[in-house]
Amino acid sequence: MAGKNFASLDKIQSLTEHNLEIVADSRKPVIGWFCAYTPEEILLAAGLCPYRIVPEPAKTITLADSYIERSFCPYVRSCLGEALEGHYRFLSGLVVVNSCDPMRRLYDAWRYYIGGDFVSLLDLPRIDSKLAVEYYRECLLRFIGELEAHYRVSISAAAISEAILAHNKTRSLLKELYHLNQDCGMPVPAVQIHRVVKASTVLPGDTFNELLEGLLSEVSHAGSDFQEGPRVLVSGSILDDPMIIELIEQCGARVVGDDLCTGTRQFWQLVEPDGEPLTALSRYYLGRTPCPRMKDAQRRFDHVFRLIDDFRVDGVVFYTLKFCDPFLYDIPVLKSQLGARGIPALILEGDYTPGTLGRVRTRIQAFIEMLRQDVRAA
Amino acid sequence: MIVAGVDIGSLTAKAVILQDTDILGYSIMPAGSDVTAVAERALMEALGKAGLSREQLAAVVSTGYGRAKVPLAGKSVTEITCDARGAQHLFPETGMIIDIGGQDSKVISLDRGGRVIDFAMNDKCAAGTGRFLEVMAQALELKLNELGPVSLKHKKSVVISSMCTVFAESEVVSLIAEGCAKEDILNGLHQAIASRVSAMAQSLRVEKVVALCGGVAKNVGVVKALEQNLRVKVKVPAEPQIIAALGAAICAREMVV
Amino acid sequence: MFGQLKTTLMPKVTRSLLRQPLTYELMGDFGRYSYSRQNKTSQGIWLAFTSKELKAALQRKGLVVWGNAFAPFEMFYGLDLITCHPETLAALAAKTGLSRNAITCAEAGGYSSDTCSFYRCALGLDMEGLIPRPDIIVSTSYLCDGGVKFFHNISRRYGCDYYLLDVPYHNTENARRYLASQLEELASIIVKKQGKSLDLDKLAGALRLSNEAREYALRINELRRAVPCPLSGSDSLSYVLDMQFFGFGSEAGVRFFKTLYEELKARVESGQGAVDQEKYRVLWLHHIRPYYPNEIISRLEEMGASVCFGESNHVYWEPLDEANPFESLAAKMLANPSGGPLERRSGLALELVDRYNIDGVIHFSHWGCRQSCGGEYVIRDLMRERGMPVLILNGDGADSRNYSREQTRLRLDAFLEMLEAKK
Repeated sequence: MAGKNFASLDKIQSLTEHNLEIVADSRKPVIGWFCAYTPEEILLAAGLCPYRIVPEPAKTITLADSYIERSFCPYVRSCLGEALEGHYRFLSGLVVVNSCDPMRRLYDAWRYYIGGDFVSLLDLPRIDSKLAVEYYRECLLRFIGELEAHYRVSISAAAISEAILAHNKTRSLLKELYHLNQDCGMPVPAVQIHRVVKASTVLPGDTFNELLEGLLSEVSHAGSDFQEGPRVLVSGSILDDPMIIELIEQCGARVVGDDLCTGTRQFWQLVEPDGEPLTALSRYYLGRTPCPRMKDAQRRFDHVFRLIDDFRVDGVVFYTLKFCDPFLYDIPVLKSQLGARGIPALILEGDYTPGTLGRVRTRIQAFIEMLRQDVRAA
Repeated sequence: MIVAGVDIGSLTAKAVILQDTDILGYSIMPAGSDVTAVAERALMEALGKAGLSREQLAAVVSTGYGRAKVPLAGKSVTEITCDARGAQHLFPETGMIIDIGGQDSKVISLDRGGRVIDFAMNDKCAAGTGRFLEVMAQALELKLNELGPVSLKHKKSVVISSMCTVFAESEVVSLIAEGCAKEDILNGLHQAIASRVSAMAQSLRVEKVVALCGGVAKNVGVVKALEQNLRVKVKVPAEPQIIAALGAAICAREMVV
Repeated sequence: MFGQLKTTLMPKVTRSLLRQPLTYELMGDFGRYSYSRQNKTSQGIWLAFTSKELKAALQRKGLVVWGNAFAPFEMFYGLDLITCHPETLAALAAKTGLSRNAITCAEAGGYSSDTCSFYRCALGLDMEGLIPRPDIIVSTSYLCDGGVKFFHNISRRYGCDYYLLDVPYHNTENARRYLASQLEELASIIVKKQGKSLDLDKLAGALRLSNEAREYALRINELRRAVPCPLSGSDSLSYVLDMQFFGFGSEAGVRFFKTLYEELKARVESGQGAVDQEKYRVLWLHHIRPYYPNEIISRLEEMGASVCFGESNHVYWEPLDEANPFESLAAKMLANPSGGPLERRSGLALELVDRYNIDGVIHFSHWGCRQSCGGEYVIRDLMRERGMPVLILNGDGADSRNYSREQTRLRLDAFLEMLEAKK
């Protein structure tokens, strides 16, 4: 893929590769997290270094199968496998969000087989009613209490507000990147965009924001690099390995947007900067574009349709992790709504290992060819 | 006292004649489709090798897939218990038995007294069984008994990442096309089978003394790969396919005593 | 020609019959009569209760609510709703052979075979028009993710209200308040739809009935400690379980548990066990067993193993407070051992092992059931520390295509041999 050289991209990439060192250098206690619903703002306000757990695909998934059922979320199994191998001994604590059944069991298995001084479960409502917002706010308060007691810190409302501002900055910069890339004719390949988003979860906020601002400036001065081809949206849950995106682009399409836990759903909306910070956080997390585990599935579908309009999408590629029930149940519904709008969709399942990519290549190729026909016909 | 054990698997039938603690004779043959008939044949062949006749047997126990359909047996016992008994007879300190057969694989945990405390089985998926190697041997155009020795010559490490036999086969075909050396591919395959099986073993928590039986135990490449994965030395009997039949014979002895 | 007629006409006739209220009326009456003649009056009560419900749901003389197994049925009865529970129907479909077709239907509609077969079956039954349509759907956010999505997808099909009771993870005061407020809100939504006002007396009455039934359920659980155990695992995991999920709060519920208690008391007094020669006592973990024809329990019983208790029959809640219906129903839901941290479930299992004098534990690992299977190794390891054998039995509750008689029997036999060796 002919991509221009963006110095900021290279910098982001190299920092991501050394993020463990950066984390160690910060001299703050490192707290691991998994789910995009983790309120990082609170971790930052507590003076901790949040570290998103991103296992190396496939390496130790088999080991985990001896401790947790095999027909289970591959992301959870990979995380557990790596933890069993001792990769996460450097963590001083862990926060697990009660996002779904596998996460709930990860919390149990981690405590029983790995242990740790601070392993906390943060509950997460599935609805965003007034009652739920109030309840979740109390959960956040309880979580703050646990952090304060264990790390012997005091987390002030001011600190949380500050963290909200910093995090909002990251969110709006990322959203800007998506739009800017589109407006400038896609000078940045989707794989790199994906890497940037991933970097936002593993690098310290201010460092990242600075680099991203630099990138935006470079992009706005770069020329278009758009090759003719169908415009594809990738929809799924956790997508840490960009190979599938690379594969789609290799087959002649452009991935112009995404609906991923590790993508736009993390940053398309902002936390309200004014008012009581915990209420703001509660409203934000319960109200933003939801993951399928939330009750209001239609809100996510509508987000997908907006992206389809904004980014002039020709087709959708679903890439979910195997055994992910919330996604599996949504697929027939979303597929039919897409069908009603004349948007073709390809459904793929991944198991977090690169081994399966070989066989999806043919299906992606066929799908892109199909899209090309439609695009030419249109 | 002379007893016999008969193991009717889905692919092979085995029989063992046991006098006290000595194996007097044994047989291994293809199972065919008539369980009752092959049980007879296996027993007769083993008796023939021992130079004995049916009347001299005090008891017979059957095991294996076809164990319920063997009228000449006085009792049927699962191959899990029989594997345990047989392996423990040969290696008294065994804490764990791994049986990789043609169509399934099992792991059995024993306590100090040789009793089964837990077991895990894979009989749904060809990966991790002899079938996996059969398919790959065909793809590599090698005979089954060549797989072990050839794999020992490997120089490079090749990872077969597919979890499924069908996918792995296409991976192998691609690797061959890319010019990858057969011994390297084989080593990768043995690693794959070993990692599947050792995951099952890990789920039961691996013991210090591990015995390996079943037809695949004759493959020295798999043995080595298993030892690497489990981080223990693995004991392999001289004739790994007859362990369940031996265990059945030991059960027969207990029946009479 | 007759064969052809049979294969094309029979399913059509069956389906058409299953949509008639009269079918259920007859089924209920006949069933009750037939069971009482076999000295299984309690089972007859369950059949009459289930049939009557289906008949009422088809006749639609009131609002029809669909609920899941952990929804507060006391509230539905107290609010005069007609109830329907697709999870039961999925199990019955498996038992009567209707599930295969239903599951295929759902899969053809795009539902992955990695999801729970009960929900695939229920989706398929619904697609075939075999479940009375709902006016409102209520489900709880636990035990599992799949249930939440299943009920939501159904509500889309009918364009009806879907109320999700969001049940918190921890059992705290904050959690109880949150859940109780949701229950109160739900009640007001329902009565508004009905054009009525909330009848607290009626609601209190339902709670009272629930408490009465609970008393008998506790006594039944006590009786099951007897050696030999009077109740077969096959029954305790089918119609008894069904009443446990859906019967509390109804008159039939009280009658059922009272009758069952009397039946079992008589058996214990005469030393009658579910298994003729009880040699081993087995604890069953997971709420369900396979419902299509299978030999799991029968093989165990044949070999003298009695499934004398299961986590699903445990009465885990305190008596409900009639004066505080929403708070006490919330407390009941939050007390469920299958929710919250695994310690609740494993702690209960260990307690039950002692209380029922258990020789071995079977954890039924239903395909697609992440919430229960995810903890199976931890539970097994905990049991192992106690020297208690555990069989993790992989299987499928409603999809008979996933059942292998030989493989299942091998595991059961090996497990039984383990128990024998321990004696």
